[in-house]
Amino acid sequence: MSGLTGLTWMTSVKTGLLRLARGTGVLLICLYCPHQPLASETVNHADCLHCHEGIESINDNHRFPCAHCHLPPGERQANILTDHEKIVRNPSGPQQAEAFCGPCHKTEIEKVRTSLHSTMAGVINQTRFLWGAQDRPGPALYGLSGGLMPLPEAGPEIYPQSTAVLVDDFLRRRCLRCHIHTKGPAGPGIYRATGCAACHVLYDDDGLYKGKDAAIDRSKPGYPALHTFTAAIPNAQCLHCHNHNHVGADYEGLFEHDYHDAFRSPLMDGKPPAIRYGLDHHRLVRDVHGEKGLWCIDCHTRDHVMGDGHVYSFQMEVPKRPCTDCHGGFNEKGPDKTHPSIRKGADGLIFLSKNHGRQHRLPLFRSEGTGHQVEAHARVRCSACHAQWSFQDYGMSVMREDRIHDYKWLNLTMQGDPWLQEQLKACAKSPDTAYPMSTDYLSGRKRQGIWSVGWRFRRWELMPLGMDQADKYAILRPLYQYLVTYVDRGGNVVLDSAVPERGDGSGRGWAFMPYVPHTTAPFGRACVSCHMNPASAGQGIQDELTCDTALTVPSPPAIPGLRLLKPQEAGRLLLPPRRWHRERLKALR
Amino acid sequence: MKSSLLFISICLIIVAVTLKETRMQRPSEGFKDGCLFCHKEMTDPDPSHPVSAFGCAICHLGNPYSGDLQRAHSSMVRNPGDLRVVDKTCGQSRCHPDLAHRVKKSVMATNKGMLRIIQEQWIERVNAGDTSPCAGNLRVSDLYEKSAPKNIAVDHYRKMCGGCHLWKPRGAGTGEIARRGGGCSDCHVLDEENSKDPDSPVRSHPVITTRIPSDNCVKCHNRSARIGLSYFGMFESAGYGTPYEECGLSKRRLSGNRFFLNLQADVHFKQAGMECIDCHTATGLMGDGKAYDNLRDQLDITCKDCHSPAFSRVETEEALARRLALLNRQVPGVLGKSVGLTRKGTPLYNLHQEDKGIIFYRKMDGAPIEIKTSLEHRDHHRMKGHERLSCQACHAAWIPQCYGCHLTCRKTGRQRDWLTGADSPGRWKEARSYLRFSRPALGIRDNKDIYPLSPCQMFISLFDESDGFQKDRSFRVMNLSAFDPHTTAARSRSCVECHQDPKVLGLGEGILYQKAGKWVFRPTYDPIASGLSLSHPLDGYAGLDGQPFQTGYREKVRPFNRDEIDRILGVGTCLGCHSGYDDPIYRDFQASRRKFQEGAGLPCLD
Repeated sequence: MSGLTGLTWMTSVKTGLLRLARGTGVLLICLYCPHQPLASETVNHADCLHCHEGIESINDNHRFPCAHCHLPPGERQANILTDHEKIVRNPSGPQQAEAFCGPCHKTEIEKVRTSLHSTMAGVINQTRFLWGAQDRPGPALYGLSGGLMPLPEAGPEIYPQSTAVLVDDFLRRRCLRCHIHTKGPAGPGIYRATGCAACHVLYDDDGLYKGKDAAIDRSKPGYPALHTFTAAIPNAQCLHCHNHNHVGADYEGLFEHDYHDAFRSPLMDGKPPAIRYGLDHHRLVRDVHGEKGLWCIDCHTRDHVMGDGHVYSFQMEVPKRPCTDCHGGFNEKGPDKTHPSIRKGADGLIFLSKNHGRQHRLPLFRSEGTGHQVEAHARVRCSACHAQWSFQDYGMSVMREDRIHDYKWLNLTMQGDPWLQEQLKACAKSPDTAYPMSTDYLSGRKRQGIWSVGWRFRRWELMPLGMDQADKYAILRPLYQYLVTYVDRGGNVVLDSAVPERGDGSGRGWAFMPYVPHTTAPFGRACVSCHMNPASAGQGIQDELTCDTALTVPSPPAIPGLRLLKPQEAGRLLLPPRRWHRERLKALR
Repeated sequence: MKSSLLFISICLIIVAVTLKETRMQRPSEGFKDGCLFCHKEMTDPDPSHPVSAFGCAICHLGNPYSGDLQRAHSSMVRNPGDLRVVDKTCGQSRCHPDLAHRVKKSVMATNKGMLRIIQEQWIERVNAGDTSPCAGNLRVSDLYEKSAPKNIAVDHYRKMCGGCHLWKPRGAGTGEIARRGGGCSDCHVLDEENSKDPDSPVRSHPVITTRIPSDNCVKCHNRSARIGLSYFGMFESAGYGTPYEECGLSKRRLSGNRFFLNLQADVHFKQAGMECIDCHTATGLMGDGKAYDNLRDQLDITCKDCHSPAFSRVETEEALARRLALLNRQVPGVLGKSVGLTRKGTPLYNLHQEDKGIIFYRKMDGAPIEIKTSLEHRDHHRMKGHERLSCQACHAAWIPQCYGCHLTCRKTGRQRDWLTGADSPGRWKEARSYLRFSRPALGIRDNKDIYPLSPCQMFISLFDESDGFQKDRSFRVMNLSAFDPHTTAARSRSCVECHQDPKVLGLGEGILYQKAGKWVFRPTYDPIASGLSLSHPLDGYAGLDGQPFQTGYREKVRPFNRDEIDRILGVGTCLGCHSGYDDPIYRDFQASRRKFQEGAGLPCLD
C-alpha cells in the first residue's frame, strides 16, 4: 500500500515537473520567438523556414529537407519538433559526420580521418619526441584519429616534473588550437566550423552572417558567411587555421608582428592596425602564385588535403603535386598534360585556376636559366632558390604557470590567441598573485595553469639549408628551440628554462625542419644568398656566436633521414670552385 | 620713526647672531673651514681635492664661518658640479674656469643639434595649428627659461628626450634616471653605492675621478644609437624577455622595462678590455670651447689616431699630456716621452712611442697593450676604389636598426616634462615596426666617407583635445644616420658581403636579379599593404636608379647614388676569381672591365 502510494506520488511529482519544465520552455521559446502563437501548447520547430525564412540552400548536391541534415535519423520523420536543442547545428562535426555525411561520403570521411588535418600526427609526435615523451617521432604513435593512440589527458593527479610529462598539456593548450575536431578560440580571422564544414563552409574574417536567413543575428560573430557548402575554397578559409608564422600566412605575405605592445603599429588614420588571427602583421611580398590570384587548392588537391587513406607522420612525407607537375623541371619532360587545370592555349599552356576559372599563362622551366644550368641544382628543391623569405622564429621560451606571481605579462598578452590574451589580461588585474585557467583545445574544458610563449628574435631574411626526406636541399626553419619553464600552484619553479632531451637520448630537443616557404618569386635568389653565405651553410649570422646568435646555427631535424648539411657540403657551399664563379660571371656579365 | 625702528631691529639681530655664534664651541687650532667641525670624519673626494687643504665651502659654498646649521647651509650646494652653480664652484677662476666654460658649450650640455634638427624637420611638416616657429639656436639651458619657445618638437624633446643632458639635476627621478645629469658630477662622480663603505664610521665623500667607469657613460648612452650597449655586445631586444629565468622574465634588463640580447662585442672591449674613456678624450667629451651641433664634430678621436699614429714629445711639466697622466695615476709618466695626438692635435697621454713598439695604456688600470699600427700600408687598406671607405664600413660587425618609429601625441593625456619635472598636456607614446641588428647598410656621410647607416623613421600621429585624429597635422620624417656603431671586429666584412647584397647597398632585403642585362630589384617588405603609405620598403634607402628615398638631415647622410651602385655591383661579378686585394684587375678596374667586355683571350669565361 505504502509502496503504491509512494509510486503514485513519485509519478505525480514527475508529471508536475515535466509540465513545469515544458511550460518554462514554452515561455522561454515564446519570449525568443514572439511571432509564435502564445496560446499554443507546442511550438513546432519542424517548420524551420517559419523562422529561418530566406536561408540559403546549402548547395545543389544537397537539396534535402532541413531535417535530413540537421536532425538525428530517429527524429527526422516526426512532423512535430518541440525541442530546438535536438537540432544538430553542424552535422559535419567530428561526432556527427559519420551519421549525417557518412551514408553518402563514407570513403571521404574515412580518408579524412587518416589525413594530417585530422590526426595532427606531425605536430604531436615530433613535439612529444623532442620533449622526451616518446622514443621516436615516427611512424606516428599518437594522433587524434586514424587509429593512432589518443593524446593522454593531463589529469590533476599528474605532477609534471619533466618536459616529457608536460608536453601533452602544452600540445592540448597551445598547439592544437587549430584542428578540425574543435573550434578553437574565437576572434577576427579565426572564426570557423569543425569537421567537414571547417573547410567547406566559408567563414568571413569578421565571423558575421551575410545571408538572408531572418533568424540569424547579423551583428553577432561566429556564423558562416552563408549557409552554403562549397568545394571552391578561397585562401582566407585555409588561413583561419594556417596563420601565425606558418605556411599559408606566408603565401599571403603575412609575418606576425612581435608580441610586445610596443609593436602595435603603424597607426593608420589614427587607428591601430587590424588584429587578425590574434595579432597584427607585417606585410611582405606575396608568393607569385598568390599575386596572380591562385588559390591554395589550385596546388593542394583533395588527396593532399583530405587524405589518401594512409596515416602519415609528418607534413613533408605527404605526396603532393610538385612544382614540376605544372612547370616542368630538371630532367622532366615538361608539365603533366593530364593535369586537370592545364589546357593548351594559342601561345602555349594555360593554367585554369579554381579561383573563378581564371586563366593564367603557364611559365615553364627554362633550362637556359642560370641556376637551371647547374646540374647539381637538380638536387635542390625549387623553393630553396625561389623562396623570397621564410619564417625564422628563433629561440622559443615557453612557461606554464599554475600561479602567476609578480605580474610580468602586462605588455605581452598578445600572443596570437584571443582566449589566452583574455586570461592573461584578467590576471593582470589582480595585484599580486593570480591562479590562471586556460582552455584545453581537445576537451574544451578549462584547467588551472596557462602557457605563455616568447621568442628570442624572429626574422624573415635568413634561410639556412638542409636536406629533406627526398634527398633534396631545402630551406630549414626552427621548429623549435624550446626552453621550458613550469611554475606550480605553490609558486615553485619546477623547471627553469629547461632544454628538453629527445626521447631517444640523442641530444637536446631542438630541431630545424626542412620546409617549403610559400613565398615563391618568379626568379631565383642571387647565387650568393646560399653560396659563400655562412648563415645559409648553417654557421650562424656572426663570427663570434653568443648565447643568442648561436640560435641561428641549426639543430638536426626531428625526423630521421632528414638532416643538416654535412661539413663537406657546407664547405663546398662556402668555398665554391672556380667553375662556379665562371658560371656566375656568365650570368651576370 | 620707521627707519629708527628698522635700525634698532637690525642691530638686535646682529647682536643676537653674534652672541649665538660666539657661544658656540669651535675648534681651537688650524681652523680653516667651519664645516669640518660637524663633518669631522670626511674622506677626500680624491687626492687632488683633499678636504684638509681645501675644506668644504670652496666647492660646496655655504657659510663656513657660521656654526649654525641653517645659516651654514643656507647657500650651500649639494652638487658643486651642477652647471647652474659651476662658475662659482668647479669653474671658479682659481680652479677650472676653462673647463666649465667648455663643458657648457659641449654637445652633452646643449643638445643643440638634436633641438635644431627635430625642430627644423618637424615644424615645416606640421600644417598650421598651435605651433610656434622653429627656434634656431636653442640649447637645453634655454628650455629652463619661462620664455622658452613652445612648439611640438620642443614638447616632444621635453617629454621623451630631455632626461639625458648635463643640466639635469642629479638625483631627480628614480633608478637609472636619478643617476643621470649633474653637470661635471654626471661623469666625474662615482655612484654612491660604489663609494659608501657601510662598516666604516668615517663618512665617505663621493669619489671624484678622471678614471670614469663606462657605467657612468652607459647610464645615458643606451638609447637612440645605443652605442653604450653595442660596444659591450648588447642589443635592445623586441621585449620578449627571454629566456625566462625562474618564474620571471629574463634578467638581462635595461632601464624602462627593456631587455637586451648578447651579440658580438666590440673587439676593443672583448680582447683589450678597453673602457669608453680609453678612446674618448677630455677634449672630445668636454668640448674645445666651440658649440657644435653634432657630437662627431666635437669628438677628436679617430681610429687612425691610434692605429696610424702621429707623435709629439712631451717637453714641459705644464704640458697637457703630463697633467692628464698625473691626474690619471695609472698610466706611466709621459715627461720626455712621445705621446700620440688626436686629429685635433690634443694629446693621447696613454699612447706612448716606446722602444719596444707603440704601447697603449688602459686608463682604468694602466695595463699596457701593444697596438697594431701601420695598417694603412697593407694591400687591403690601399686598395684603389676603397679610398672613401671609413674603417667602420668594413669593420663594424653589426649596427642596431630600428625600423618604423610610430609616435602618437594625445592632447587628452598628460605627461611629465623632464625639464620642469611637472606634468603638462600632451602624452607621447612610441611604437615600432621591427628591429634588426645584422648586415649594416652602407651610404655616404658628409659627401665623402662611406659609413654604416641606420634608419630613424618617425611616423607621427597627432590627436586633438577631444582625441580626434588630426590627419592634416600628422606627418612622417624619414631619416638616415651614419655613425660608428662601436661593434668593431678585427675581421672585416668579406668582399661579397658588400658588393652583392642589396641590403648593404641600401636597396633593402629582397632579390636583386638581372633581366635582359639590367638589374631589377624585388623588395621583400611591402610598405603599402603594411599600412605605411610609403612607396619604398622601410629598409629601402634608395632605388636601383639611385633615387634616394631616405636621407640624413640636410642630406649630410645619403644612400649610394646610381653611379655608385653600378660600380659596387660591377665589382661583385669579378670577386669570385679575383678575390685578392692585390689582384691586378683592380689597379685600373674600368680598363679591366673594358678588356673583359671585349673578351678576347681572357680565361674568365673559358
